[in-house]
Amino acid sequence: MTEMNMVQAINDALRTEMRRDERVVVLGEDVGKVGGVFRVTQGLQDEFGEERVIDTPLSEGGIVGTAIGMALFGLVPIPEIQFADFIYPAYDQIVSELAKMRWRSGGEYTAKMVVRAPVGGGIRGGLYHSQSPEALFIHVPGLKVVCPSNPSDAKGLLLASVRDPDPVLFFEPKRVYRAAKGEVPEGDFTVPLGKAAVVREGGHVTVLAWGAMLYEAIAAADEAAKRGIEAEIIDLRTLWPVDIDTIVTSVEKTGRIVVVHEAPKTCGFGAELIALVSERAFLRLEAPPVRVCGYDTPFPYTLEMDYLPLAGRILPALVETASF
Amino acid sequence: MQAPMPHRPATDEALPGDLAIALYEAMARTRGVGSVLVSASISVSISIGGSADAPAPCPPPEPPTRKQSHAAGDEAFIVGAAAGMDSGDWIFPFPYAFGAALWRGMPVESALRRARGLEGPWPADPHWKAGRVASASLAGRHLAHAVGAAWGARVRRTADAVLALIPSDAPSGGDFHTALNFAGVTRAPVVVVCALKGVAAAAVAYGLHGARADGSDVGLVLSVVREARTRAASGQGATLIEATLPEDEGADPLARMRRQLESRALWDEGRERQLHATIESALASANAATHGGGDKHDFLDDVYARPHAT
Repeated sequence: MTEMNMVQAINDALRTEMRRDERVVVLGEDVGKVGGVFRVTQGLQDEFGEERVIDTPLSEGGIVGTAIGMALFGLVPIPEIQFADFIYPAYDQIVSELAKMRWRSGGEYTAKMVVRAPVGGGIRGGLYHSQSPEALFIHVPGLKVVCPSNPSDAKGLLLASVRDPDPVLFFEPKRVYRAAKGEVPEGDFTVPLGKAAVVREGGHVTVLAWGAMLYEAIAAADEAAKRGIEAEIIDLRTLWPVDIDTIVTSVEKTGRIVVVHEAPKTCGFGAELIALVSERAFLRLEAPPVRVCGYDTPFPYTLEMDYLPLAGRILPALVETASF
Repeated sequence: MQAPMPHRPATDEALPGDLAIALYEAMARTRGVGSVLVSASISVSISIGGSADAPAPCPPPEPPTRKQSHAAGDEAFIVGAAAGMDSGDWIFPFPYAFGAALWRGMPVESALRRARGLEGPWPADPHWKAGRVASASLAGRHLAHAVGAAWGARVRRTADAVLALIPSDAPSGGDFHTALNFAGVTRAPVVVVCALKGVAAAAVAYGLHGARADGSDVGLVLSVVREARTRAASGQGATLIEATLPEDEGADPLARMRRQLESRALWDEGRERQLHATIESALASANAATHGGGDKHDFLDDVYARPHAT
């Protein structure tokens, strides 16, 4: 085990897989010589060369579109989108082509790849460097969506994603890129997709969170505990396919659920999570489900700490839900 | 970077007899399928995906003239380009360039049955073609896939090259620019053939070779594509080929090829009648089919490698 931050852990995962599988290539804007805008791919081009760690023209649609062709040809591309906010020019390729390749060919062809992109706010990135578009991709059949919260999971989930037969959107919470540190297994290991982690046990209220907001949920739960409220916190890790069994098991125990996410509230993933729980455990609920989310506004630059669902907004939700 | 090559006029150069006949027959099959699809489109009897329970028959094919066929007039450009590649090369055609798949061996019956939703891959994407021939539903989105596949060949150091067939309306979209820019930067072994007049002039801007060919001359298209393929596979980069029909309304690729075959005593009226009888029989057979369309649960398959329930 080695202590790493998330940037180092993802870099380690990429290096591990590129050593193991020569079909794996990394491509994106400045991922080669520069090592990526957040230095996640630093040093990879030195080891694997310009043909496997590829600096591309500045065009997200071109990056994903050509990666689809590479995948059809038998490579395993890992395109990087510098910020998830920049992924929309590639949305057509991801939604119309990448997600549907297996289906429309009757399973004859696939375009398996992992599209990496930093997400979320909290770095004073403003309007175009802070968004969390996970729901837009979860809504598309054929895609898987992952968002780790800590370095060990980041490495294990990324290695599992690269080896998964389906295309994966791998969203990296940039607010904790360097802030989240922890012991990471050396060498090859995976964290299975579709498995959530119960990171804190409690009997009064279930809290669902992922990425950077997991730490806010934990901070809120610490404060709630001082008031006698024991929150059970679930880190979803894989957003889709979601580990609904772990969620429902917890809600059946607590009877209460709070979902936390950075994205705007309306039609955010929290809405789907609450719908799924309601379908399965409606009669076990003892309080209305609650969402603590970003507001239905563009992401604000100077007021981002007011926009984000930080612990100070989560705590009242826990108290209110637990005491309903 | 090189300036576009001068326009190469039709030459009617003699192709080997067997190849010339095969090209003509493939073009005739392309027009035959296209004529049915045009009739069907007009009468709205073909919908995307078709119907498993009551597949609508297509109207009987009109006499297949150039103006009454999907890809009408493009038969030489499509079939000739496909024939200019090696048999294992990937081809990325636009949706109505089904002639590339017919050249690669997809039966006429299959082309029409797919269009009617009676034949897989389920649940019947009528845009999907035969092995290693993969199209997208939008005019230019597949060009990036072609460039990426070619780039993959370069990364893996294989001798493969890739063909992209681009309709005349694709250059108006951003996908066209994006993909050609990537092709130029990566020197990917891709051959792009486009039916827009004047498009070869754009090659210089992308650092590509440019070429022009008379799109009514299947042999010439084949030859120009083969040259471009050789150049691409030897590491000299991509070529953007402009293959358009002459202004002359009478420049029908099939009529031209038939005249050429007849002048070489490779074809006659009897063979012509036999070819059309075969095509029409295949079309009629596919058109009469009332079964197929897959099981009603088939559309649930292949969304993911392994289904997951929520």
